[in-house]
Amino acid sequence: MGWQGRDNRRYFYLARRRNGRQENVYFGRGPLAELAAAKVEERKSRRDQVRNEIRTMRDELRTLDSLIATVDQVVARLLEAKLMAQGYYLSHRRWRGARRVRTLSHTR
Amino acid sequence: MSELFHIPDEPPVVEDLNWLVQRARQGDETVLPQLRDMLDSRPEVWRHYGNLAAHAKEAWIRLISADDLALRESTSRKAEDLSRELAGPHPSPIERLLAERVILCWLQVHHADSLAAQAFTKSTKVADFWSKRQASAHRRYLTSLAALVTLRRLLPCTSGGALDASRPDSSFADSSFAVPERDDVRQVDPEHRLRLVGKTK
Repeated sequence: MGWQGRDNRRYFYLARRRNGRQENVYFGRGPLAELAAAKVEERKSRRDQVRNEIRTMRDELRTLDSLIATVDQVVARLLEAKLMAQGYYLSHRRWRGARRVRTLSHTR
Repeated sequence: MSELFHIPDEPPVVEDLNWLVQRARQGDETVLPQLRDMLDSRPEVWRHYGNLAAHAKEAWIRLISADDLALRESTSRKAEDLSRELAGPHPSPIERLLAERVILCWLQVHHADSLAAQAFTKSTKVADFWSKRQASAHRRYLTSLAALVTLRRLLPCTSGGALDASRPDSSFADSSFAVPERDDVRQVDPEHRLRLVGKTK
């Protein structure tokens, strides 16, 4: 909730969750309120900093990851093409057809 | 570093290849001779993807080593050694590509490993981020090794003879990536196997 204005005065409320329920803790407008507000602000800025750090890291790695993903995808496709060309086929994510490949290699 | 990120355009033959694979997936056996012919007689396919993999490897090595030229050189040499060891003495183009893919994934795993270790001193969210990345890189690495093993198992004539766990000089000899022989698979206690799938109490 933060600072709330009432009768031209500011009062600090801390919103928090306890046992799954939302509750607002009243801190008033004295030094304790200032201290609590500063703490909340500090925590918020630290959280933003971490979020930005993760976002920057993710952005930096995105292009490199996409390079790996491209290589991954095409190599998998080429392997599939190679095995299919030999007579194998995919069934339930397993390569089958060894017997057929042997027959094909004899007839070829 | 942006010039390193340029992904070369796919050669036109790739479109034909995709179409043929699609037909083969649907069970059309008439496309198999064409597919075989394309893979055997069109070297530009292998060249294109070989270049792409080399390009990606270079970019990853640069990221890992940053400005440390000694680290860059040693990482590059280690990657070359591993690639040679995985591909074997006379690799086919597909084997070479699969080995390159393993190396790429290996670089990604090492990058994630080192940053995950450093992240423990930082916030939980950053540590979580690196730990997730580490797990996904590791999965990808295992998949890439499995693809190479699949090729060696199904098309032994293309095998360069590497990735042999029984070889004492092999880096993979003492690792968990050693592939069991087919005979070892058969030796598994059948009752145990049934228990795993929940057929017995």
